[in-house]
Amino acid sequence: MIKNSLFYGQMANEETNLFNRRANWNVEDALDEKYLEFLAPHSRSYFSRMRPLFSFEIKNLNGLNSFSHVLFRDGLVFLLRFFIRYPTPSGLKTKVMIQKDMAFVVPQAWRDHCYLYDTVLLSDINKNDDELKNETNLVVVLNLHENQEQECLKSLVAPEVEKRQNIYLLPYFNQMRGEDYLNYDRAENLMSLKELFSEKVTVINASDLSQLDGKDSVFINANPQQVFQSDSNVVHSFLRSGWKSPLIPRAKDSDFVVPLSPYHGMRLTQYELGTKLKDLETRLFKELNFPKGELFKSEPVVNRDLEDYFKVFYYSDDLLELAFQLGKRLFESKG
Amino acid sequence: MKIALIKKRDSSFWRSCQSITENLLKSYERFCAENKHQLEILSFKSGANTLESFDLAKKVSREQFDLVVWLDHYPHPAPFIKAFLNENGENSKGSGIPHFVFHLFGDFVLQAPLWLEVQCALDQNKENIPFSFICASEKQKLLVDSLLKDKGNYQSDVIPFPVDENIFNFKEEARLRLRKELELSEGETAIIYTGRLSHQKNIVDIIYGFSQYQKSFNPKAKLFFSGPMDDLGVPYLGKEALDGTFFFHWEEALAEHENLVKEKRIRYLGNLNHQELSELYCAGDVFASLSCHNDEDYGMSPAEALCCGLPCVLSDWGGYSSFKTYCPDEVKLIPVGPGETRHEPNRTAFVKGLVATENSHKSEARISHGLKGQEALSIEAVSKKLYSFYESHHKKNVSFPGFNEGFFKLCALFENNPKAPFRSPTGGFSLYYKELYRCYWSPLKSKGDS
Repeated sequence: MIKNSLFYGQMANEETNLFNRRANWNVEDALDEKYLEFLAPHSRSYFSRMRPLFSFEIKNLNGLNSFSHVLFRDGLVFLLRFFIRYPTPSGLKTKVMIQKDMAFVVPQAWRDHCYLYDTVLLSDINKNDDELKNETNLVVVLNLHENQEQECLKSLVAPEVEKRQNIYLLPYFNQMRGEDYLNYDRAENLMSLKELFSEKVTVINASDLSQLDGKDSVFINANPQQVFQSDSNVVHSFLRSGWKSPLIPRAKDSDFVVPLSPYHGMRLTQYELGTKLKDLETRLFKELNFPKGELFKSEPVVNRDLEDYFKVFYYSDDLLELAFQLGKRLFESKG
Repeated sequence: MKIALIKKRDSSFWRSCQSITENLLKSYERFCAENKHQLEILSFKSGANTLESFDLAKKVSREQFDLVVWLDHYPHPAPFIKAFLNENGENSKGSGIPHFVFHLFGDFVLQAPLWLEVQCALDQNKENIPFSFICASEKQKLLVDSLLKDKGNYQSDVIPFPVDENIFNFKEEARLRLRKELELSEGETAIIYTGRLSHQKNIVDIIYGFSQYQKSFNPKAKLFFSGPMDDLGVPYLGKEALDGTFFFHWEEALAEHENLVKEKRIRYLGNLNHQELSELYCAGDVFASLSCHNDEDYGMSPAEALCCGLPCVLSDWGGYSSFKTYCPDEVKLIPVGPGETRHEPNRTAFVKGLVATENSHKSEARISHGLKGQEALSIEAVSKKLYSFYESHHKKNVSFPGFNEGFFKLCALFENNPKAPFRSPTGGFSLYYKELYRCYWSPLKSKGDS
């Protein structure tokens, strides 16, 4: 059972405050810098009783035992990589929270250690769903990664685009530094803007959001495949300001929710693999023999002594491709 | 007169400044229309970079304005002034130089290094340029004047930021309607806070003070908060907070008053637009704010509340103190003590202030109080203050005396440690900071005092 005392009370508050003093227990190294920068601004740290971090930031698994629980902000590729590094919890006592869509990635040995979370709107202060339908502005946060499936993006965003008068695109062209990632063929990403959206689109920057009335607007974080991150500070930032998203469900009274703002929070459940994810579980564990199968034996060694950003690699191209494939299937399974 | 008003094309990222600039513009438009002055609004994009400043300066020089008014808090006018002085060069001797007027906002101290650039540009020019600062409140004036060289009678002036009286005025029907919606019976006292909910706004002090007041004096009282939550820590001490930190402290404070939350005696209403805020002020019985924010040069929230006839209980800090001058009967000031890492409003005095403000609602009184507030703070009122200011200043043509040594020290503190300029070796506020902001927490001397 998920207890309130995990998140509230003096002991919990002390742990949370200690957790946030990262410099004291988890100094950022070149690997962290590389991927946090790549995922910025989604990866920006924020304060939460859930103690969010990316699993790649963990240098010493048993060091997490200082905390009763932590929350993984990972997308598929980082979560896959984590379970390759740590196929079993070993001496870990800490509860780990995983985004519920990623539940199929969790090896059997870990399932008792995990809770599942998703982001929800709180009912009291938010408009009801019928009122949400009338908002005239839609802001689409576009995360243009190389292999992102345009079809997934289109399926996610198109229904909402049709309903709204004004469409605004807030694009982040995430690109890692270094020759290994230089790719001049980015025209496809920009083509997606043309294909998905008609002329009624306005491209904006984050600083332009203050010109929009949050009460008359909704937003979508276009991250259908959740390859890199499942928990974004950009999303929290919108929600904290009172914006709504048609893709974020509303909490029910019976849900266990830890609020992050007056408007939204994280809903927690015990680990359970939904039926829609069973096919993905089969693909990963039975067909590919995750995490010990041949496909997973060529991951780069995690060397945290390397100070050279350009020499640090955390996952292979094969794992990344697998993550995109699984992400596509995950999105399609939601219907 | 031929007047140029310089402002940013898009509205500010800072919410209160959006209203301020818009309303100041309206006051100037009214002032110019009534006095047959020629007004031109010059806009620039958000950055006012060197090139844009250069083009703006050329235009101002070419058009031969009598008066150039800088209306925005951001960006800083330094690049424009430097470009203007450079453009005019030798021609700056004698006629053709307009009188520059700068409306100062709460970030004056934060922008000190940029004002130093202006000083250096003026020194190089070796010419007396007519230059005026307009502060939003008496205490801001004291702070700014404390950083100026004492050359003759030069002082900054005070003109409050205007409130749009067409939006913010008392309406009985709005009161009745919203009180019904908020489930407030007429006998219940509604205490209102609006504005940013943030560490330096001392929201937790309001909650604790309200709890004592409700328990000991007025069981029927309710407290309503409205405004965005933000995570500005204490920037001057280098205390940055992660996004979401304030909400954690808010939750912890409410957890200690769980029964009040359950009874809906403390409620958060979210972020409201101007119309909704006006209605909230109409529905309320008292406005309360204990802000000790270092940039609190004025206070749009209490100004708007006063124009709606809402009595105010305010910390005797920064811009808030001036409201007592404008509306002596409607404002109670709460003493503030200088602390090591935060300034502390007196909670006992706050409770007493709430008690002293209790009054059964009378519509006529609210309308009358609202008009009193508007007499001092409305767009119309400020346009008249602008008239008085320009009548006296334009004839005097006082040149800027420059900044004093204390200001140079201020700039050096920012240069050496931009993230924590006022941090003492022990981590609290430095002695320099306490001296600089002494005028903010000390009571204002009345005009009769020596």
